[in-house]
Amino acid sequence: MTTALLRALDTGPTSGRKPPNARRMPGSSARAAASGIWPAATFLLVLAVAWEAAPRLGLVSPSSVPTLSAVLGDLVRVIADPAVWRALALTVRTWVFGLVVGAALAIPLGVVLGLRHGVYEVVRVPLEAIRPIPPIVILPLALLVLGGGVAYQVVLVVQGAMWPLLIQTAYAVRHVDATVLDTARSFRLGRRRTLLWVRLPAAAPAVVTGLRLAAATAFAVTVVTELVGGARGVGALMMIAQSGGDVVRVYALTVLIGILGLAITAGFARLERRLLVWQPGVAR
Amino acid sequence: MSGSLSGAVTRRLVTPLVLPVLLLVAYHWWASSAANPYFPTLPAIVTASADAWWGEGWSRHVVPSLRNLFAGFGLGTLIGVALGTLLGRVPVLQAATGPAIGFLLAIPPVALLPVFLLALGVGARLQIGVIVFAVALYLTVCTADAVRAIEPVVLDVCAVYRVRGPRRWVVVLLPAVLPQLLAALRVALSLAVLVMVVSEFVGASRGIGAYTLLAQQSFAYRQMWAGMVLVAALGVSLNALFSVLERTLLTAASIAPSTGARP
Repeated sequence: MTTALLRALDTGPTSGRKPPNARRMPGSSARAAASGIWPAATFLLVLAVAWEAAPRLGLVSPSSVPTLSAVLGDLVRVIADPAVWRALALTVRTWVFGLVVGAALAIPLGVVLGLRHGVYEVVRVPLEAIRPIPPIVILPLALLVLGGGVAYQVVLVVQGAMWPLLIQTAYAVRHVDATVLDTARSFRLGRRRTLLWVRLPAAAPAVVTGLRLAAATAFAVTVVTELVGGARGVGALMMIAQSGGDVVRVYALTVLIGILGLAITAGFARLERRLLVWQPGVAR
Repeated sequence: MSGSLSGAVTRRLVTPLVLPVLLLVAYHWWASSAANPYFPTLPAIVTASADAWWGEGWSRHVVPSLRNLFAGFGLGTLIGVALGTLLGRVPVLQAATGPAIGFLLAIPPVALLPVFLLALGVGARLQIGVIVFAVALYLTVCTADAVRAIEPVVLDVCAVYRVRGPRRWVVVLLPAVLPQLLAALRVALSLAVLVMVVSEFVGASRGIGAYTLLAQQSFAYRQMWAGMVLVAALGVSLNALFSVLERTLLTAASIAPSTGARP
């Protein structure tokens, strides 16, 4: 029955590509739109069927990969569970708080760094050098000094969000188009007004992009603090389920984190569009 | 002339060192006066590092970490570049896999550790598995973007000059995506180090991360610092090595190295 269903859906993209309007405009966005939803739907269905079938047929052990239906069933139970909502709220709170504090520190500091040539030269190379260091390198120290609580989480999330955003802001404020700055000077805008009306708006796209990247880093670090330090949140629930051998619950919680991650990504994409409507597509 | 030359040398070599040196001196002064066991002095950290990573520690912790890192990074790169090229060349496949890949991308790779723990258990397989997954997923997306961004004119010129088959890939397409690919590989390398350390925190008895967290749990502060310093040094030096490789490859392909432009 599944194969029949599969075959029925497998013809989706081919039949979708046949209409004459797709032929008339080869390579146009119309064709992309026509073939847009069917391939994705088909692929997701194939994936779903494969996920459901593999544990049932014994291709993978159900104790390491449970069936999709079991995971989805548990996802419903997870979403109905107030304890999970409390954990989710804690995770989101830590993430938001860390990101906001990190941005509140990094953006003003970045602006100052970008404006002061001498300071920028001194700070640039060390900041670039620490970029590839994993943001959780100080986790053991933070865990030791601050224990496994909220302070430990916030310190780690703040520093994880801060460094990339600081570099990005300083770089953006510094590297404003010379013609734009010359124009500001011809209009005798003065330092303060040049900063407010020229430099900061010109740097905004890069800063918002930096904020999006910082949000992703902060989310990852939040989850790590819950997985490793035992701080409360969805990550801690995952570790509890994992050590208790509740395989289905681990998968359900992972899907929940994915949904949260999607919401974050979508939210920032929206914010980026909303904030930068005036920018003619030039994201620096 | 010599004045401007020495000025340039000062700018290039001395200026970047001012801040790190100042910070180290300040830390050392503070640590020796505060005598807080959580924050050992610099000589104590250096001694602990030498003890930790020389001899047995090297073969017991550093070698497994590096082996997992390189195995995972190498395998992940092969899979990611191959899949990304396929997706970049075949739009239907990209449209088909888009939502699934988007969902996987939304999950931080470290959040998949519990799932991988269940599937692969504790040990080298876990480390390599998670690194392969994280690197392959990221590179699939970046490679597909780079391949799709190749100018259609380039492909047309290939057709006109009848450059086909493997020659087309080596002479035209690879150099066209090389700058973007190398930039992506560099990010993937940092990602691999991050994932390696966290996976060793969560599920390993060997490796730098396991050593560091065990030291923290057994209140061996100096050993813990030795671990943190090594992780940081690994991140910095791997990135520096990669920069050298990047520049060499791009020069060899006579492409200007990518500017400091950020995503």
